[in-house]
Amino acid sequence: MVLPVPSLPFLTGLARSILATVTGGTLALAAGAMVVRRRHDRLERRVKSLCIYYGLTPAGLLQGRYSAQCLARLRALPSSHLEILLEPLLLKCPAASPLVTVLQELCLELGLIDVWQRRILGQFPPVSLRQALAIPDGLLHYFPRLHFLLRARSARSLGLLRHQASWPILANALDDPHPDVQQVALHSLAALRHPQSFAAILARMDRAITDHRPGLSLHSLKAALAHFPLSQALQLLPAMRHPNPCVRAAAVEILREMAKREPAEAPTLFQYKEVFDRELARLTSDVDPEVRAIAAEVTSHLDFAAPSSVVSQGLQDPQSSVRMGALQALAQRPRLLPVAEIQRFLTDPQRAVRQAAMRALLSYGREGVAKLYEQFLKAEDKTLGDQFIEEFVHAGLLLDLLQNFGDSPANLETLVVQRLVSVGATRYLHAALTNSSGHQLLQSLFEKLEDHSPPKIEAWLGLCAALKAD
Amino acid sequence: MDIWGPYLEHALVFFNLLILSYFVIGNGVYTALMVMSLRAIWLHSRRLAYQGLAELRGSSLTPAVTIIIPAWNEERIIVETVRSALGVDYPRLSVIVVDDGSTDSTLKRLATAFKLVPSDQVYRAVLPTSPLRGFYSNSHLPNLLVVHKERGGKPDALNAGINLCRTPYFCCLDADCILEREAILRLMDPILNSLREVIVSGGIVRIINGCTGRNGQIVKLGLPRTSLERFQVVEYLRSFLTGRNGWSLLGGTVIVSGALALFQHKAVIEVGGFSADTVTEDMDLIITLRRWAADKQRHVEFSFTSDPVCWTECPATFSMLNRQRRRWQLGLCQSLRKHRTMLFRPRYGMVGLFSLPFHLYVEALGTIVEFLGYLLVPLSFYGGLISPALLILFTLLGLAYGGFLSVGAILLEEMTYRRYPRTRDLWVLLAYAMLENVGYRQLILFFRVQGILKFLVGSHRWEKVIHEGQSLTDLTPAAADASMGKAA
Repeated sequence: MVLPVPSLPFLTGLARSILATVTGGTLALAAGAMVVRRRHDRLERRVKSLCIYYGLTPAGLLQGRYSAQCLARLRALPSSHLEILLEPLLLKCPAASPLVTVLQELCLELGLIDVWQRRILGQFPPVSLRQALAIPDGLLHYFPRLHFLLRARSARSLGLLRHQASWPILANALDDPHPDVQQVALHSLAALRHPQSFAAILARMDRAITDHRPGLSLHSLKAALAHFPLSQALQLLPAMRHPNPCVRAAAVEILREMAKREPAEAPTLFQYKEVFDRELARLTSDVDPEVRAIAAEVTSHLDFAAPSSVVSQGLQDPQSSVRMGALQALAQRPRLLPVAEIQRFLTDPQRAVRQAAMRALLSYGREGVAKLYEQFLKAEDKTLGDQFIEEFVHAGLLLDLLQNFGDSPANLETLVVQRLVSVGATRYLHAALTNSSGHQLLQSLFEKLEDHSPPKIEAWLGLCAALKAD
Repeated sequence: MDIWGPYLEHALVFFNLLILSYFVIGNGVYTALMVMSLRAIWLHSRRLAYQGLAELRGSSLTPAVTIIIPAWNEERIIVETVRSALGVDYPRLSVIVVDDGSTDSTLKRLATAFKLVPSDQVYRAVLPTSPLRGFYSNSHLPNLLVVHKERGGKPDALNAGINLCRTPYFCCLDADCILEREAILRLMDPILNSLREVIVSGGIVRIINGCTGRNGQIVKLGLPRTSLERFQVVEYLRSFLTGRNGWSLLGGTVIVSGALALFQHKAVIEVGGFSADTVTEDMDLIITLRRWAADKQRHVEFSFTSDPVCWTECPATFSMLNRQRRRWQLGLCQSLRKHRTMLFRPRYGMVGLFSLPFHLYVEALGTIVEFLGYLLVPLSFYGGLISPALLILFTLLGLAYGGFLSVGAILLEEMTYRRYPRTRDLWVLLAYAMLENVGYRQLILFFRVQGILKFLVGSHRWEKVIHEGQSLTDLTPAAADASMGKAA
């Protein structure tokens, strides 16, 4: 029997031709790799030497070494070559560096800014294949489908140069057909922080949420807007009143991030205190729980805004995330409400709310800590007790407890330590002791323990004795 | 014997056709993946010129990330790994090292290097793990936590880390890996800029052997010294740049290397964390997440990008390479068996209809087919079923095609990331790419067959690869200084 194939000569011929193709292909790929390497090495060397020749080095540019003659020579170069020479400088140039100004002037003089702006607008001069092959990355100019790469690069360059006058073109690029260009234009607008561009980005965010317009993720839009100074927050007010809860939530979140990033700028909004108070009060009773929660949290970062009534309202909310937001606000701005207002949340059914309440109390200092201890002593539920212990450990209170332990038989710290021992949490105390510097604390504690010798603490006494012996 | 003759002939003919189908399907799919990757990676490398990493770094909305490093007897490299993790350029980062009951001085070295003291944390075991023995931290390094626990295996250690993780995303990092400074930012980029929810973001693993580092970072790149390691460099390039990238483009990713991957915390908790059912817990978790997403009708994405890099040490000896490949093959078979109900099911999309069946046919069963092919094709030749010319041509074609795919991966590397700076390195890589199918491929096949045999006998042993080479110890500052001095 023979193989069920058309015929042996046919099969052999087919295999032979495939083999020849594959071998040829392999050799072509290998040759391609070598050519790519050679071209790249040559380009790298050439760029390096040209940069030195034209004085396009950070030190050279800062010293203003480029002469009129050099400038004339640079002007004679095609824009694609100039970009290759300047790109490394642009990418490595820190935002606040004086080099940015020098580079901006140079790019303006060389006409590059104009080239980049035209590219973003989609104006590309026709390039023949021959010309394209002669310049690095020339294929990007030749194939219109790849123009988006050049548009995005141009938008990036304008952002890196902080070219303020380009903001309308960049804002226009937020609706570019390619998502990459939209993304880069957004980043550049955030870098420019031009006041008028804020509204354009906000409008784009609105469209992204309400029309599900593709291209930019909500996260990118929020991050870009949050990058603006807090003084722009007034422009968020219409979005905070938007009928769509997602837009409202995003607007409040942006406000929160702005305030968090630049707390020192909060007084710039003081003149609008009433407007923000009113808006935040309205948002804390919003129908959407996410909006309510973030609004409650915003109050912690805007010192002037949000009276205690807003936070109190948040604390009454049936949604746990809102209660948590209000408590987080109190942790940031203690004294907005009395301790007693917070204490009741220590027994909230939601663990995260209890945790926020504990942390809020900690921010009240000794008064708040005393309330925590009192509540811990009252706690009958094991889960709740464990959560208290977790917060004691987290806040580093154990050392404080041990230091004050035994000063008087009925002081709060003594009772809490006894309770900790009775619930079997000695390992935490032990770890705190081991980590405390020196043996002084251990010595004094040991003496106190010997003096009082409370029955429940005996086992732990043994442990401490062993530690002392070490 | 005469009675069996025709049956034997039929069986041989059938088998030859099976080999042919395996050859056509395997190479056809890999060629398609290579072509797709070529375009996608070239575009991606051009996009890197305007990637907004600075924006991610500077944004207060960038989510926090925890790097979880499970370690078991990793005294030789653990300090450098943790140093590299702590040195990662990311705005809100914490590192949790889970010492999984090491019997060497892993914990001691960590404690000495980072001046750790015993501390205490309340541990809530959302995912069940073996008991914890203690916590170690340093108040001057608040983002580092070392956990000492009883031995429970790598998935167990990872689950302990997940239990302690308080951030929305976590990154798993093998204890013998060095992260590049921007790796986490690059992994986070597709998560934040995607219009859909991304629950897994994977990166590329490269081989560290032959490189030099300082303070947890690679400072000098080079190729390893031995042929065995160099073949693995080519293999990794092919696997990551063409294979995984191609599957990601098709939406059929089922393998994201556990050595470097960013996971959404809540999604992983929801599927029950890493499972000890297989010895390749990373692959198992990805398929489990795929199943969960399809069952719950969650429109989530699994991202793979080729620019976040982590460097790992590859085995330098045959025995260790054997262990590694045996385990990978065993894990593949176990994962396919565990998730067999997903096979050919349209509800699991590309994964159920194409990716898993391909892995079953080409990567799992194909191993046996190829192995038997080396035995039965010569037999067919002796039996007169294949003409000598066809046999020679077919063999040459097999070898040439393998070379074609490997050389394609080298070209891809050259067109994009160009990590190996010396031209000599490129020549060497090309030579090894062409030679890979003569000897090395057969060796790996032999190891993989052993993995299948282990699967058939029901073995479940996690074989640790002990790195005997010096590549990772070259990363210590003293060794780096010596090496750089020599280079100068």
